[in-house]
Amino acid sequence: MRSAHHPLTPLVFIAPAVIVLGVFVVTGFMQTIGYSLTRYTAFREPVYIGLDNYVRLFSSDRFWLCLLNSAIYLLVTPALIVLSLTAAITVEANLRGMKWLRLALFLPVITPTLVGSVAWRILLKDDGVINTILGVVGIDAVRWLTDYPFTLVSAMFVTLWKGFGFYMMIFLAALLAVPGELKEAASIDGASRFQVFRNVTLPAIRPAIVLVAIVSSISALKVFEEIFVTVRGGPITQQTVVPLIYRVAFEEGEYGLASAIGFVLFLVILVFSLVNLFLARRAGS
Amino acid sequence: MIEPPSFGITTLSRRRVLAMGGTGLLALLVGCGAARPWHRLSLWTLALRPWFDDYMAERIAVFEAAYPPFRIDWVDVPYDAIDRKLIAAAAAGMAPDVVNLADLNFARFASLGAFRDLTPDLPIDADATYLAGALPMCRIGGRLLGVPWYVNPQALVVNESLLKEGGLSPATLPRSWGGLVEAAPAFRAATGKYLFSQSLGEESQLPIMMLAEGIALFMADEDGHVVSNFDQPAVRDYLSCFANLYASGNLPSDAATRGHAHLTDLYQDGSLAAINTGPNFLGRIRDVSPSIFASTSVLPGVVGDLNRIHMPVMTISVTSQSRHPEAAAALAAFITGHESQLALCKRSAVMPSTIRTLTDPMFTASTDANADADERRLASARAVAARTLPGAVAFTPSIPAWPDLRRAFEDEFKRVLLSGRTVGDAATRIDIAWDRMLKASERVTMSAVPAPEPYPS
Repeated sequence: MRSAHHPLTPLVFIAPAVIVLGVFVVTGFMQTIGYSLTRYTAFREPVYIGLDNYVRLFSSDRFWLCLLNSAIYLLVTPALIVLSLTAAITVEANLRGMKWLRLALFLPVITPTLVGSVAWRILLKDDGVINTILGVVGIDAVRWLTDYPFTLVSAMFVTLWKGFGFYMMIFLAALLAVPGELKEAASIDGASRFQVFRNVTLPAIRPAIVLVAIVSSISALKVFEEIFVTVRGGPITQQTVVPLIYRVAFEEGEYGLASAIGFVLFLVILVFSLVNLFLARRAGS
Repeated sequence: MIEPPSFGITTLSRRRVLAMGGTGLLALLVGCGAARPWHRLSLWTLALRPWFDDYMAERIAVFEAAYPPFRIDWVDVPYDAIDRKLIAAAAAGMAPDVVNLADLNFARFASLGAFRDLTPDLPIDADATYLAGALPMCRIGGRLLGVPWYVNPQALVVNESLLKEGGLSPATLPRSWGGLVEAAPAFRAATGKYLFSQSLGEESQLPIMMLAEGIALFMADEDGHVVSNFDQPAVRDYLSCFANLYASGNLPSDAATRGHAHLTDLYQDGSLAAINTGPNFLGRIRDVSPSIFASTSVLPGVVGDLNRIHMPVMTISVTSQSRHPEAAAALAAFITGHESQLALCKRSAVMPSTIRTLTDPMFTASTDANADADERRLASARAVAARTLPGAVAFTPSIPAWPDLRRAFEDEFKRVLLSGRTVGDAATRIDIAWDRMLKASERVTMSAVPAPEPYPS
């Protein structure tokens, strides 16, 4: 029997994506690895130096401090999961006005990060709204924009505010996909609402939780705009790895060293994602 | 069917018009390129505008007259923007041909490969032209990566009236930091004012002062690379002197928290009897506080065991992206040459880095008896500073990480002054931090650290 399709047809379909990814992602990635092995500056063409950039990097206090700050920044991931899941459960209820609430919660997602960060800067400044509220309840003003580690916390606020609407939508889709008869059966068997959630809903939406955990932790490790706007002007050792890459590449002109930091960050994210995936699968089995 | 209006131009004639227009544009572009008989040289300076607009315009006109094929594009950049702007310009392949940098960042840019070796292109003998204490910082790894421009050798500016209140005079005032530290408590007790101050926590001068004392803050490892030698008894003793003086209230609180500006501020309001600073600040003191200026005199700067005054240096370099390196080197030599520096010194209180300029009567002749008292005082300060220049040294090490090392020192020493950390702890921490920073930056040899012989008294 003659095949309905030419064997090359699928390749033609995926070719555009392969070409775009090849040119803009794979080539760039390979170039970054190559540059990381060179002495390459704003003034000098790349010259091969082996692993010297990595030796410099691992001797550098500021790299480790920025990496530590990135690790601290990962705290937004559990906070995001809890917040967005709670929001998703709330808006899943078919109550009046929920559509508007969904829209309101989703608005930060479509707000440019830069705009959101500037707005948060205004809220968090020394005499801003947040400190005024803290003052009303008898708490001393916090220097959110200048004192470490509050500077990091301020940027985390922005990431939380900006991200949780998006993850809420993922959870909402997962919640709506849980078969209603399973929940009904559990209720008929005498399970409480919490037990239904814990033993039926939660296992059913586990893939969504894993997805959100991986995606949000990758975003947290790659955070830049929030830090760049909120903590701008602060010492680099109080910021995270991507702002360090920006500083080294564009303010210090050391492209080779910046490429090495970028590649190390890639490895950290890769390992982190694999561990995340492994733990989620083990919990699932 | 309605034809679109042709406005009198047929299809054929439209083509012809387009062809003629295109040819004309091409001819214009080619013509512009071919007709331009000169090249552009870009020159970036640091914070000269608007005070030196006339000076630069005049110097540029002289250079352009001497080198007709070149036109100078002069750009003045603020201090705090030069790093970012230079990196951005270089990233775009548009770095200036000639750039002026302060000594603090010179080595860092040199490590990025920012500068050309001037040795083959410089139309003068650098060793015979520039001061022996200023030139070595521009020579890294045997390559001449810049030439010194104007310098600010430190001088001891004293308020004679206040000194007298404390039982001192310019003749009896100690000229070493150790002597000043010893004399400070008695002076404070007698007058309620401070004998001297120094920037300890911000823009700290202590690392430079220790180098000027001959304390070896660095040493070479087995590969010959510079490593830290900070954690040693000599450093601890030296830092303890200042920490104890500060803790006993014999140094102003600003010494820990403010940079150089606190010296002139406190001197101007009569709270300080002596400040070690560049003579270029005298003009400001005269303008802000005429009464204090009236009792001010200038003595040679405070020295350490090496008997050499520290001399901050402005440098001029040709960047590695220059398209006209020979002309750029000629411009660097011209701007830093005798005539240009003499003209600059006449317009401001900076000092020249050229040996020949120091022989000008402006720096050697006794002051004009007809000049007013203020002018005589400024001329005297200039003469005092000029006398110290032959022995003065730019103690700023040509280490790329030097700004970071200084910052690490400041962070720790501020904790000693303000938070009760011990000097021993701080020295150990600084030593570890310096070692890491030195290893994390471009490695250099001990030739990057100035270690001159003591200057004969």
